Amino acid sequence: MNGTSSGSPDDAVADWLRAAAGQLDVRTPAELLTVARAAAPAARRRRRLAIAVPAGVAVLAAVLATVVIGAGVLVGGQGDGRTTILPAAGFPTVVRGAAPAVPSEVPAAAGGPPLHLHYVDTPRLLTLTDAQRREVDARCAPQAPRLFVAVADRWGLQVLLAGEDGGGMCRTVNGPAAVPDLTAVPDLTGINGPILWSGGRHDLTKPPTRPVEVVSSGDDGSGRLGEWNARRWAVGQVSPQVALLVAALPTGDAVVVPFEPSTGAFITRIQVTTPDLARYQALGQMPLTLYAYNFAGTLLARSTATPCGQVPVCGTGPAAPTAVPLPSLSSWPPVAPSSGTGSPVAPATPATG
Amino acid sequence: MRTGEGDDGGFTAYFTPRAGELLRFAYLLTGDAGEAEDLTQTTLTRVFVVWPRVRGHDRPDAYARRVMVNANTHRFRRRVRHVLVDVPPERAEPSAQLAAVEDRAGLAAALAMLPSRQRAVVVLRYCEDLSEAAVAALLRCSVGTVKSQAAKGLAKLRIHPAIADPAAPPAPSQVRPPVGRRDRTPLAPRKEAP
Repeated sequence: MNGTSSGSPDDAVADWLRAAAGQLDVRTPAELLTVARAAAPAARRRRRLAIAVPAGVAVLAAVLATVVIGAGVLVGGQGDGRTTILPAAGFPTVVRGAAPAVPSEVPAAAGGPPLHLHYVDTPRLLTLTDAQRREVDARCAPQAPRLFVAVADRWGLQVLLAGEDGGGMCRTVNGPAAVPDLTAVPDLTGINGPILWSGGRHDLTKPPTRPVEVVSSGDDGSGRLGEWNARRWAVGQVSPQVALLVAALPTGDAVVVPFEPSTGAFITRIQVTTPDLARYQALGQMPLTLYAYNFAGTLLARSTATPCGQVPVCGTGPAAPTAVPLPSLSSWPPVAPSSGTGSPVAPATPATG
Repeated sequence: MRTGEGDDGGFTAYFTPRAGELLRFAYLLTGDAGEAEDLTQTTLTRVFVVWPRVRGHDRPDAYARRVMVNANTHRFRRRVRHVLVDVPPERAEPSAQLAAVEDRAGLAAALAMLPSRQRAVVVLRYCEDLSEAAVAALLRCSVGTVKSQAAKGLAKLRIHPAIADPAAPPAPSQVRPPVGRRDRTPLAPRKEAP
């Protein structure tokens, strides 16, 4: 028992609750676990759909998928003869300037001091080998997928894929590399990930209208007693004038986000390991802000992906833009933060580049 | 996206000895043996889906309790309006295949006075005997919220007859026999025999 009665009315009620709970006699059905396990495949299907697809769209997608698969089987025989994922075409005409110096601080919330950054990882773009592409294709690619960006960081691999029936990400979450090895080949064991949107909800083959657009974000974690890994992640796209993208948590934990130079597609995560369970939970609820700079080091825009709450993935599309002018890197007056996943702040005078 | 299949990775071994505790917790949240069984099954299914991620945690059962609280909240939100009828529906015979809870003190009837979130706080704090910090961590709220919700809950419970007057006969719903799936929703007020 956690408390003892000291005579107050509340203690008397608490004692009654404890005593009554102690008298509960529960008979567990024999098949409870078996039935729960048997229901898991259907639950997985529902979960995938529920992640990013509104119910109406899910029904429509299911009907269309049934028709398409049925037609494919009738016309082409077996349905498992899928082609391996292909690189995204990109925009050959995009020319980006060289990335400016990495900032050591960024504007914080309204009225607050600048946020000092400490970089916690060194993610880099990765060109997948044929074998790696086959592995990704076999584990988690949507139909007719295009590979938009693959990134290696100290926790493993992150891949953003999109195809005719939607987009998704595929990730490994390995133990941290003690020393980041820029030449190491990521281990793809256990690679997996959720579908983030369905159908043509987001077209990553075209440049975004705003400097940075977050199309999906979320949080997850793992760990054990004394070592908790809190992760905040986001996927999206930057416009051709963006030369540097930085992701940061309010704690100052940050990474330079690599993006595919042609399409501007990016996938990023910030993972923080802590022994404190309360801090782990707090980290999962923190907003993840992306800061987009042009080649001159001018902050073009920022987009804040707010936590999803009880769902693992949120942010199925950019909301209406909010035009708020932002300062350049050389001056940091406080700026009101944007809120909501995929609600980027557009620059007052967009730079060209 | 596909997930790896295979054996259950220790899921059954871990939850077999804990299924009774989860069912008991579900009963305290729902107040009905049938709904508790449904809620427990839903919870176990959801935990099983993410078991590869969860099994590394030091307390997967705590995670399961959080899933259960959230699932119960959704159950409340989705609950359809009950329609009162003159004659209560027929109840199924007790079966070993269904859950049964014997609630001698009428605990579920007392807890029914509380809204779902407050009820979860009171159940975790006093029936499950968790500390305020543990309840806050499980419900992802502040310790202050736990304290205030617990205090409000106790204040409401204080006026319940079974607590205000311990000598009073226990609530009529003290024994919850197993019920069939088709008639788990109480559709009608109980009528006393003439």
